[in-house]
Amino acid sequence: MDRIKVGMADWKLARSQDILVTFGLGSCVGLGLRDEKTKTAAMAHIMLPDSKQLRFRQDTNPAKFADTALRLMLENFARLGIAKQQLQAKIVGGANMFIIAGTIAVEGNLKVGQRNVMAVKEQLEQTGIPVVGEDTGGNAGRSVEFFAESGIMRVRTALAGERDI
Amino acid sequence: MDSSRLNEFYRDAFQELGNIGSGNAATALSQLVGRTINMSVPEVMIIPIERVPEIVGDMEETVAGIYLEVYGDVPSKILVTFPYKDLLSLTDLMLNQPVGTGSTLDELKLSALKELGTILSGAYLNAMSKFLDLRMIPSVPALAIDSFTAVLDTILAELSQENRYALMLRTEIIETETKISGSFFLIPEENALETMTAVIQKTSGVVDIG
Repeated sequence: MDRIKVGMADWKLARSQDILVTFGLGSCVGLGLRDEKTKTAAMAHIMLPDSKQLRFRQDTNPAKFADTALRLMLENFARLGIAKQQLQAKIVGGANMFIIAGTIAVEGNLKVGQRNVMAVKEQLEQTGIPVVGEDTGGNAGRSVEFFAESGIMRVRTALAGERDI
Repeated sequence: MDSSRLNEFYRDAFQELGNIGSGNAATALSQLVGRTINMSVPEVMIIPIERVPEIVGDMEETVAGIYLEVYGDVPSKILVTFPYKDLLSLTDLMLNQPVGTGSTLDELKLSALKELGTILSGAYLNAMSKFLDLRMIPSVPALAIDSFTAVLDTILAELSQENRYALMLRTEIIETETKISGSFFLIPEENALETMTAVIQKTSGVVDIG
């Protein structure tokens, strides 16, 4: 049994007894995909909604964006002989971390969490992968353990305890 | 310019800028709480954004993060963090109460924390902007109480829309009597970096940045 750490803008694959772990999802989104038959799971820590909207053109890390991360994960599942029709998704994160009273200055900028969640859902819908679990939005950061064997995602917050989805 | 290629000269220059800012911030905070506040020599870090969480700070620690954006000639982000366990003592100091008397973090204390971010940032930016002769205007503060990584995560996601590397000036804030310590981060965006290096070049007479 391994605990496999998924860093920021990173993704990892896990099998059977392994647990995929990612810390501190604020506005970032943790996307978990899993095949029930082979107990194969993958998780990505997505930072931004769209690789095509980037002003910095040299970014070549596909796990960073909702659109490219999903494509990358699906390619790797396909390589293992797992078709996208076999996959189910769980989504965690996309919080709005900072509470600001009565200002538009910072507020406009910090909606990235919401945009991330929307982008990931859109990508999944286009690909036809069902979302079977979700814990998104709100104002709290989340840490996630994704169990390949059971498909359970354990979501932990700093001040509000934990729950399984 | 690509901040990954920032050479020693500019690292030193940014450290000095950080020094000027944090010196003033320490003075402002000392006067406010009537205690001695020390601020460490700033650390200049240039890290690929994705690697910031693993390199900077204790990822799982719960903190209060006060976040401000800086507008004007040097667009930047400021994050001030204090450990959760120190928040009550800190707000006692802010509100001029004996340390240890506060029991819950009520609205007043939360707004005192934000105010602290404003005071530190204002003093820091004032000194820096006078020195550089550039405009640096802080936004109103936003507050999050959460794990350090989650607090940082949103800021890094914002930053990563236009930057690949994070240039961070980190200063430790230490209150010696009650041993409260926090961190002050100034994170200039790439175009801010360009503006600042140009000014440094001009004032120091450096022609070739090598």
